[in-house]
Amino acid sequence: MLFNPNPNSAAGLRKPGKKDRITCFSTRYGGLFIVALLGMLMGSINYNNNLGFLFTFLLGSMLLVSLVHSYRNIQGIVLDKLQALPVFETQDAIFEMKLRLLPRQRMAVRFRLDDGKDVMVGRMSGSRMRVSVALPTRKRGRVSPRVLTIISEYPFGLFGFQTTRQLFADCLVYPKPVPVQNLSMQDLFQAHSAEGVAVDSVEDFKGLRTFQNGDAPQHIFWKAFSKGQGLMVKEFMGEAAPRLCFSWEKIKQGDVEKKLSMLCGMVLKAHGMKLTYGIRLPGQLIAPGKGERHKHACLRALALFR
Amino acid sequence: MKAEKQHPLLIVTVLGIVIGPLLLNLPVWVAGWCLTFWGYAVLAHKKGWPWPGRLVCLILACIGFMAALAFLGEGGLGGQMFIGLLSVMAGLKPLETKTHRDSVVTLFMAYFIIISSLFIIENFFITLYMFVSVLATTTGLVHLNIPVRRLKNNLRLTAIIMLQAMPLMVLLFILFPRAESIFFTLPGRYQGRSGFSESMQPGSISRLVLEDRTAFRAQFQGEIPNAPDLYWRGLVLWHFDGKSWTRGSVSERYQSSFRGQNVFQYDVIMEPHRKKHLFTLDLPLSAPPLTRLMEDFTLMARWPMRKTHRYQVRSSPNTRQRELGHQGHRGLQLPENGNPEAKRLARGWMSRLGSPEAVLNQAVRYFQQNEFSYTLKPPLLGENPVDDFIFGGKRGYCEHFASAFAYLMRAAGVPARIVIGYLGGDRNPYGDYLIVKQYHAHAWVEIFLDNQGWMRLDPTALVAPERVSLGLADSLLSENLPGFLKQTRIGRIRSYFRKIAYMWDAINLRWNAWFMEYSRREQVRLLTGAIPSVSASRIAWMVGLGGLLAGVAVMGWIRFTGAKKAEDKDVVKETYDLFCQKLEGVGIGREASQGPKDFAEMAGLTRRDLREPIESISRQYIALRYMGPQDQVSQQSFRKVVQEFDPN
Repeated sequence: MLFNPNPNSAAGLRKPGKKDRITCFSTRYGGLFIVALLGMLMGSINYNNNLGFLFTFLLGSMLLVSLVHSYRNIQGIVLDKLQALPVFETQDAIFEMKLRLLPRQRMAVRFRLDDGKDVMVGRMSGSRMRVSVALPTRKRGRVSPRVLTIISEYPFGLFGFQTTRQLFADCLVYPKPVPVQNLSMQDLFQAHSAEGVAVDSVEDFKGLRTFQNGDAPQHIFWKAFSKGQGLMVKEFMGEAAPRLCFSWEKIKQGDVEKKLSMLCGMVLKAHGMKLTYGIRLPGQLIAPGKGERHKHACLRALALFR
Repeated sequence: MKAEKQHPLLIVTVLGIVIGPLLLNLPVWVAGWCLTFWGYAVLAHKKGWPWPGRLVCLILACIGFMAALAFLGEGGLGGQMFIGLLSVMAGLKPLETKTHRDSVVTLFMAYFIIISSLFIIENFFITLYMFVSVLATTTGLVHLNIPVRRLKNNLRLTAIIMLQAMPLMVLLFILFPRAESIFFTLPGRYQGRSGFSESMQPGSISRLVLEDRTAFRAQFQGEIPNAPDLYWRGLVLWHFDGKSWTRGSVSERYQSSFRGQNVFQYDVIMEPHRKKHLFTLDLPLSAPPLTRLMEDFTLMARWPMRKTHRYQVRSSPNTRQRELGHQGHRGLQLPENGNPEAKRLARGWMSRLGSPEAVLNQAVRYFQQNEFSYTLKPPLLGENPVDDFIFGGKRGYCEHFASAFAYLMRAAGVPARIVIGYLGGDRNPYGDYLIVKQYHAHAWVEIFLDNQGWMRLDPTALVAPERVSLGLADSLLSENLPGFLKQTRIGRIRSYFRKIAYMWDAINLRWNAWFMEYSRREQVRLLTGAIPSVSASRIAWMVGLGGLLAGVAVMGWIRFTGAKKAEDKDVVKETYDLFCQKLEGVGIGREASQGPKDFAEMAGLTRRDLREPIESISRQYIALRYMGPQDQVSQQSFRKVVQEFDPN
């Protein structure tokens, strides 16, 4: 077979098992339609009316043929990869699916994660496709949908097929950030030295620049000053700004979630200001640092804190 | 989710298409009713006019139903009233269609309208039209389901599905077991209006001249017989009460098969007329299946004709009923009083001439020589209609002549009876068969002579021989006939239409022959032809059983959404849920977002005393659920551990 429906290398997916089979279901109208069809058949038998028979059999046959269309509509869809970028609490977790498809026209296929909302994809064609499905988040931590349901009620909306995929992926949910206007330095940061974190290695030396308010006094390049070149500051890699450490214990008000939200806001603010920062949680310390990865490491620690 | 966008134009179009054929059979006001409300629904949607509320719809529905009950009441419940009510409902439906569900239900109703129109109008045209209707309705269904796609594409898809469904439809049609006869009949179907009544009085036949409806068609093997042989025997009337002739009771013949010469073999395709009597040429030689040949050589069906029925008969024009038997006194019955002059005239003949033959000849001569005339508009007759006719107006239609002639014969002591039926028929040039219409209705007399048996005598022919040889229109040239009977001076357009009508009739007859009449008999013949070694009944059983099994299999395959959740049984998951419930009982709730690992960590921290079992159970669960296939043994041990787990 050209097309392998069982890729083992799939990310975020378990091996396809029994659950992957395609099952048929009836919508609320399907049963009604069957009842109507049976009624028509009874009427035709009663009157021995061939036109009635012809009509009933035409509708019945069309229904059966439509099942084939419906089946083909969701058959041959392989979930290659499922991933989601972290989100903040109350934002929707967006799971992006990479699909491989047996190339054929597909219409109105719906995707659903667990009991979430359906996402309708109006038209699918080609052999690869990305579909994003949102799942609401209520709480920080992890959102890990277990089942992806692929549904098609195409074309009549009377009967449909669905197939499920067991999932193994999750989405980190950071606490909802409390907006921080200004980091009030006095309260919240402690000098790097207080944390006993070693800094200033020669290898990290980057260059010199003019002094700005807030620069640490020990970084002033006194030699240049003495030569009358003005107040210069030694610049080190990743050491342009003071190193902050947001500490759990320093936040007095609010419950656990509130505190985490505030810490989250601080992390975002500090990241926005390109500061170097770390966080201290009970039993956990994230050493000061900066950059995207660092930010996510901090937020992750907040998300999974308990 | 489905958009709650409504498509009134679509709904109205579908309803218009499916109900069109029914509206043609209803008074104009019904069509007006439908168009008014459909138009309002479409305009209201386009221009944002107010939608009528529940109450308004209810009031309108009441008005519509009342109107249908009042104006379409003819024929009891059912018939016109039924399709009238259906149309009234269909007219209001778009106004009540507000949600997706309403729209779908309306389309289901459209299917119902289609099958109703099929039951009511059974012809070739409606068969073709059915496919159009189904295409339209189903396209509507698809469009409601996939509103994002263009209507054109949805139409194409539906057409493709319909074409793909055709072979299966044909197969089902051929194989689905048919009953030998109808199980039961509901009264008051639209089809089947009676032709002539089962009795005869002045005016009962002449009024039929105004009706262009077909009574039956006859297909002959070989040549169509000549006009003088085309006496279609319907009912024999024995009893005369001075004004009208009625049947009285007739028993079935003991002997029901005869030989004859110059036999005509033909099929009669009878239109439904709600009566039992069937028509044959004089005289039928045997009774076809499901019919009875009566003592007076009339043919009776076992049940009233409610649908088109075909039967094959053999008749011989030379055969006569020889025996008089105990019918003798019935053939001489006359009322005590009334019509004294006619009685006196006939008795005078008998006493003067002596023999029945001579009396018969005298009567024939009397009719020929006394300036009787054949007309559709006879003068009114008084208390003694026979006297009034013979000695008064001398103008009448066939029932007057037949009645007077039979009366004279009986008064003279010669057994006589009235036969009513049809005379002649229009030959369809496109199909080479006869179309016998209501206006061919006729009445004649049969006289019993000892050496001849019952012999036919048509008094009308004595006065207007062209009625027999040329047909009705030529025998009543000067009369004010309805348009369809005027054969002379017809314009080019009318003759063109007449040709089309004949062609149409021929197509329908063919269609009826091979489609509508496909029945158990044809089915058995077809199936035994295909598999000669197996008996037909066995094939029917096999087909029936196979169909039933297939149905059950399909129903088993289709799971209903309601039952879906219960079906999804997962022992491992259930067991783990039990574990979570137990922990929740001691205040350790699991958040929906918490994975089993996180939950175990949290629970272990909260209840350090239970850390060991909690972690062990969680590990087992993860292993069972997410790694490799689950085997029965480890599932059961997992279950046991969880059951024994007690956090209290």
